[in-house]
Amino acid sequence: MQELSEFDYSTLLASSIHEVKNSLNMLLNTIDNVSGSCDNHHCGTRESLSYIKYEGTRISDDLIELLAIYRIRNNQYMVNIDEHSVSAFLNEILMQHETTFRYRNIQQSLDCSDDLIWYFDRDLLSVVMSNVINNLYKYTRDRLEISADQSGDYLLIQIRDNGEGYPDWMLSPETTQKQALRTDMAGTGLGLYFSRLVCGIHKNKGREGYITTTNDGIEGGGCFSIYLP
Amino acid sequence: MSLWSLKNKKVLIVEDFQEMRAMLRSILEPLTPALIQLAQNGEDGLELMENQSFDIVFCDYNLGKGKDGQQVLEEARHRRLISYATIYIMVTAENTSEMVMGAIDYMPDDYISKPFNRMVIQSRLKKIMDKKSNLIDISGAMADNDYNRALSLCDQLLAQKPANQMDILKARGEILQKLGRFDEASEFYEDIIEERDIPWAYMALARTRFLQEHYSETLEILEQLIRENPSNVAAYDLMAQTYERMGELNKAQNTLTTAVSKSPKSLSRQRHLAEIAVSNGDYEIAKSAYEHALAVGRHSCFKQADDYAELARTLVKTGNTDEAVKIANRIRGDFKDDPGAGMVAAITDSMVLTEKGDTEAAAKTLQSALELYRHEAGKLSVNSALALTGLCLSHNMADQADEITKHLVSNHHDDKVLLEKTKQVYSDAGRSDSGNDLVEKIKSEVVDLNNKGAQLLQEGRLEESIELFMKAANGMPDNVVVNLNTAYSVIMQMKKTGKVKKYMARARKYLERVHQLDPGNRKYPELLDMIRKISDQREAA
Repeated sequence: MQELSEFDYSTLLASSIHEVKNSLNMLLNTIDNVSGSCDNHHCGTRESLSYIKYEGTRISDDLIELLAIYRIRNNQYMVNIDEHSVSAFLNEILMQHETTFRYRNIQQSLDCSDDLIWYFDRDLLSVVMSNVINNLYKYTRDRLEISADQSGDYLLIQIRDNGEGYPDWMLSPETTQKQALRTDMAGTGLGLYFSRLVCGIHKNKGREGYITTTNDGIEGGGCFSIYLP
Repeated sequence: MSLWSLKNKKVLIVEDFQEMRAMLRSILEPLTPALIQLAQNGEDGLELMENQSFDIVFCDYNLGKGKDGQQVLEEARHRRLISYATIYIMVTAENTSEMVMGAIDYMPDDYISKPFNRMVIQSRLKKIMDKKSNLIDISGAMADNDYNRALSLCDQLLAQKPANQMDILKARGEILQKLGRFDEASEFYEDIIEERDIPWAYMALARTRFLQEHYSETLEILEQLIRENPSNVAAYDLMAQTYERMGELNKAQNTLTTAVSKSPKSLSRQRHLAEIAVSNGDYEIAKSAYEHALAVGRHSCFKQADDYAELARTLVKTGNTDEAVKIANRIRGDFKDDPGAGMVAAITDSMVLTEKGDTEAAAKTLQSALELYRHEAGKLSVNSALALTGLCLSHNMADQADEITKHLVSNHHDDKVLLEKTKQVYSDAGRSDSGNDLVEKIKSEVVDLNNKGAQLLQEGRLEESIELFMKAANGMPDNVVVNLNTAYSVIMQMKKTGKVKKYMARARKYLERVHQLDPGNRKYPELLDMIRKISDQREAA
């Protein structure tokens, strides 16, 4: 068999992921339609459907992250840092997750001034956000708060919940700052690794973006912070 | 949701997956557009655009076998099937960033990546429509090449501190470049960069420096851009152009080789690499680049019979005459409606036959190429004209060769590279001296003629100057300077006589030729502005 070149391999990877993602997208939309026909509180399958939706979104996010990491690492990803309205961007992200949260009765709120403008790669950052928010589905009790504001020379986006808070290993600066993936835990930390990578790509006047995880969310819940220069 | 809707809007969806088409349709239908049409591939999409003007086009990037979403967009804009007011949204599987920094004229209004849902589509559409309505007057003025008006519109808008300030800044810089106000443009971009490291502003600054012919500075900026983002292929493209201007063709070739390995799907990039490789005598690279150009350009409206001819010539040079014959036959098949292509194919055939030593058949085919040339001289590209000249010389038809050269050089007398190439063709045929003499003679004739006309103009002998230039412009319709001078002398005449319908049409005709021949011509907007001012006057009695 003929050897695949780097480019062919990347194309193959991209198109397979594209295909899987398309199917997943169809699946997730169907779930939305099915659960839409369930009556609000009396439908037993509703909870299960929302769980399927959560896992499906996770798979989809993981696939997108894997592909993006592969491309960034092989210098095949053209970062596209452009000007965006932060509130429009965050609203869009929340809309994508609206149905999932509705099933679980999670209250969401957004605190961001309408005229806040910042510079970032919309595609990359939306995957980071989607991942953080989707994770909350499992961990928050019933609230999700997103806030965004300028903090010094950075844009600071914070995602807070009222769950149990992040586990200790996720709070150590090593986790949010070091590059390596974990293999000794339940998860690989793919999402964290991706978030770090994406934030680090955002540079301005010698400053780089970064993330932190703390437990000063709502009532001691988790708080995921994204800093972009 | 708000009361916002797509009332009265006509929407086209181009998408190869039936489920996706249905999904997009079901998302848009509740917004009550006047029309939703569906196409399952780019070719069908373009056909629908021919028959109907759409306000919004959703087009998937990945459309399977035929044209991709970018090629559909390019063709739709190029053939003016959609206007600057049409919203074109590219639907992508994931970030398809290699397209993002493409030519500004061929960028979609937005990219939406799958998966998406109804809310996202609605919010994105609303945002684009707001942004577009803000920019519509500027885009309109730019489409009319009325850059002064576009510039003042930008300044008015910027004073109001709009939400999409960045878009207007981008447009403003571009307008300054089009007006040839490069110093101002540089300063403008430097001010933006001082505030913030914005990649597009660096890229635009590099382009301005390039236009100012400050090549080492251009390279410096580009090197920095590439260091920070090694996938920035647009930076590689400009870098290669810069090396080319500096005469460093090996570096230009290396740069393009890197760019092509990162992003092979660009017809113009592959073509550029091939051309440089031919100049460097690196025929293996040229062959591979032309083959790629043919493959990626197969469905593009920018494909040219000349790319095939160049590949065939390269194949002849590398001894692959059989393959060259196949390529020549493909020209006839793939360009049925292109009158110049038959000529290109005949030239290619004759070259192959000459190479094979079949002199008699070669001469016969050459005759048929020359027959076509007599009727369609203007349809032949520069490189094919040179090839035809070379053929004539090798078949001892010096008179015909000189005739072609005369046409070529008089139409491009200020193109130094071309003049050198022409001399080379004669020198390759062992006629170095007569080639040199001929080229220099024609060139100085054109220069003298322009000087003579300018002298008449200066002396106020306007009618004589117009007569001289118009005669010259009819003889060399592709000569930019002559057409420019013709338009200018007619405008000068109208400055004296006032607006005259007949003169107006003349001035426009010759100036339009300048624009067609040299879209970035710096004098063009200036002269157009003069015409506009005269046009605003009342007609002279």
